Amino acid sequence: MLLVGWEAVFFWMLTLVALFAAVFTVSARNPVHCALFLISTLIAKGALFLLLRAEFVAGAQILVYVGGILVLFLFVLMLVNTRSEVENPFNRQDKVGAFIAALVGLAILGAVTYTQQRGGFFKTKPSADRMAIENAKPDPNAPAGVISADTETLGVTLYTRAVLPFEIASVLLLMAIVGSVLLARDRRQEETYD
Amino acid sequence: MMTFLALAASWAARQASEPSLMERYVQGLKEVDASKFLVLSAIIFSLGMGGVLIRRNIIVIFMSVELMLSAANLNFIAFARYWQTQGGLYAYNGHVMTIFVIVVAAAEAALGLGLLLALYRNRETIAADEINLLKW
Amino acid sequence: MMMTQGPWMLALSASPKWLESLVERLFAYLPAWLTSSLAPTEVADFIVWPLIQIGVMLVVVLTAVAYLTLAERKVSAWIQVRVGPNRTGPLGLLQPAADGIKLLIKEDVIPFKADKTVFTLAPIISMVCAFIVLAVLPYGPHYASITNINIGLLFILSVSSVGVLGIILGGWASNSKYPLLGALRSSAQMVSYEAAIGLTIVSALIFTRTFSMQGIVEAQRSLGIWFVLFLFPSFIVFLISVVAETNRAPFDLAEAESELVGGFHTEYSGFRFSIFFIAEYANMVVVSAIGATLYLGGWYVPGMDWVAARLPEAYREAALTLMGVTAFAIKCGAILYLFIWMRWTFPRYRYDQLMELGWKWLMPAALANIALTATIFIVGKELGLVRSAGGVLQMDWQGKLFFTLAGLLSMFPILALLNAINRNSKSFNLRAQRTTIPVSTRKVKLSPGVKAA
Repeated sequence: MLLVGWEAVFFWMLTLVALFAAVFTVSARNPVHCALFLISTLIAKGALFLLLRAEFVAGAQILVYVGGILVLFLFVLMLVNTRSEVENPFNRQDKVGAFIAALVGLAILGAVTYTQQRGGFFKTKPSADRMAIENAKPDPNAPAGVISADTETLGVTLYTRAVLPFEIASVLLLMAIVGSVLLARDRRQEETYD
Repeated sequence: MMTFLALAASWAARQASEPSLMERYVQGLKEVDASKFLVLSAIIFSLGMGGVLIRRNIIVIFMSVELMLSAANLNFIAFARYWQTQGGLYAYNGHVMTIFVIVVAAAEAALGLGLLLALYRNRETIAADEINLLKW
Repeated sequence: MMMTQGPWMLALSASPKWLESLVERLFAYLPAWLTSSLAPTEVADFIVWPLIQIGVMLVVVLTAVAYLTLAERKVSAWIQVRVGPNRTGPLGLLQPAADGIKLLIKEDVIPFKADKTVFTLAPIISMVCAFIVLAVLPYGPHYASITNINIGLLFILSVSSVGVLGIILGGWASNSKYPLLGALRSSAQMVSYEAAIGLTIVSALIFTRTFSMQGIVEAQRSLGIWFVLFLFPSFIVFLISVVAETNRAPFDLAEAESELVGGFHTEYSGFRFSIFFIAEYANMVVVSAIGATLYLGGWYVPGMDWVAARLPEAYREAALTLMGVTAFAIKCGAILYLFIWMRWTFPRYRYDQLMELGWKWLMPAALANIALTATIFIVGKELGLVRSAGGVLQMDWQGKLFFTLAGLLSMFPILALLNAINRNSKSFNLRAQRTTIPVSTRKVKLSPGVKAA
């Protein structure tokens, strides 16, 4: 895969947005500003998903992350008092923590570069039978202007090949719902209803 | 003198035939392949990890965890797209995995914030380094 | 795997033929270096026509919003047997302009303790998210939408969920009591009702087979029917949740003026306030357009293809467009009128009632409706009443009758389920609810005025 022309321009713009917003997410003093920057980086990443032709995932990411999770974060931020954390946002081991994170980041980057230099995963040629199977399907590089079938393909994959994980995920969500309801009840409500 | 000129000429010829470092960088800017996505995702992942390690506010720590999860998502999608264009089988597995990561993130946020509110009711603080007792 | 195929070709963007020929003629006059790398049809499809549509849509929607405020005041006056605004211009028709000028020249106050960046950002987020949704709304045949993406409905849902942030941040950044309370209320409210909207749309998707807005209309067109017949319970849930989602009365807890002064926009004044105001009304227009597209056939009216087929070939497309735009406008107007009517008829809900309605009535109803609709669809498929060919449903009149009847009858199991769930809290009166808790298990002292059952 290669993004060229306008797609490359958009890639670099979105990358810059995502990176700077991620930096500010971690470094902003006010937690609400952190949440705003996190929203920016998530939206930039959603747009990057669009460049990778993953439209449904892009929509789902913005719907769930920004519309659900981040709103929940902001809600909780308004409920709790975070004044002391605004004055002193980093903990005592921040130098050590930053060092460890930088080390891990460098390690991953090194691994990526090393594999790239060795001609790793991005230089393999597909085998002939793989190409035959792929050619039977609609062209992934469908001509511009025709609406893509990304959602259908994702749905078919999700409900045929990934049924069991799908069910497990739904049970997980149910557990999360029940658990958070249990956690959120205060003492008076418990005494009333137990 | 002549040898020097010949050496210089051969050096210049080699330079002309091989793309220089600058040209290769410009080429990399013009043509974005999947490894650029991996690099971006690695940087964002380590930023999120730094956030988890250095911040005091538990909510911001949660946000950094979300940052790490979504960096992993970017990787999944980049690999899926790469695999798709290479003609691989079941290229949408990466998308499916991303959906599951989003589900897990939602569950984690709901439970984590529920725990956090319960904690705040008892301790009146959400600074990670002030919650340092195993029981209270 | 499955491409979206059908009697039509769903294009990402298309332009009418006259524009294409116009652009082609223009290309002859442009210098060669400009035109050499461009194809005239693509320029028409992806640049010229979308830009024209964006301009026209912005003007139309902003005008609609301005006159919606007037309509709101006129209808409320009519409901309350008053006259309403009638001094500015004939029948008060210039009132929106007067209001706009007043808001523009007012002093713009930013509170001293406010978070200035976020304070200025919040109305912009609201406004942008309200207007971006227009990009995927189809208002006529295949070329009549700015773009037609395959995740259209999901795009609308996600963008409007980002719009919630405008309200939350506006309330938070004001650094004041009442806006914060309004923001808290609205964030919880909108997240809850968004869940209900998303779930109720899922049951509609069983029949539409696509997320694309133009595809949804075309699905109804190929069946010659509106989906409200198949999906009546879903439509009801959609209407109620959408009123809550746009923070309209009777669910206007976020800005309840008798409780919270003005809610999240208490500290906003002048033009910033009017941006919030415009965003709210634009949201109303947008959700009514979504409801019209999803359930009322969008720009499609049964019989319009019959009429168009009887016209000469040259006028066919233009006539279809004209009828489509008119029908779409009428449907949106009907839903908007319903919103205004509801606002001036029902009293405001209490907060716990609001949450109860969202989570214990609409959510189970939407969930049960998904299961029922899926079951009905499978039964219809097994009976041979519906066929799916190339991603498009085909059915004859027996199938339509079956699905209509089944959709209407599925109200009863849903209502039975809701009745069972809300046995103890059916009354919206707190005192009546409290006495239903058995005395033996009650440990909290009730207030002295309440007698135990």
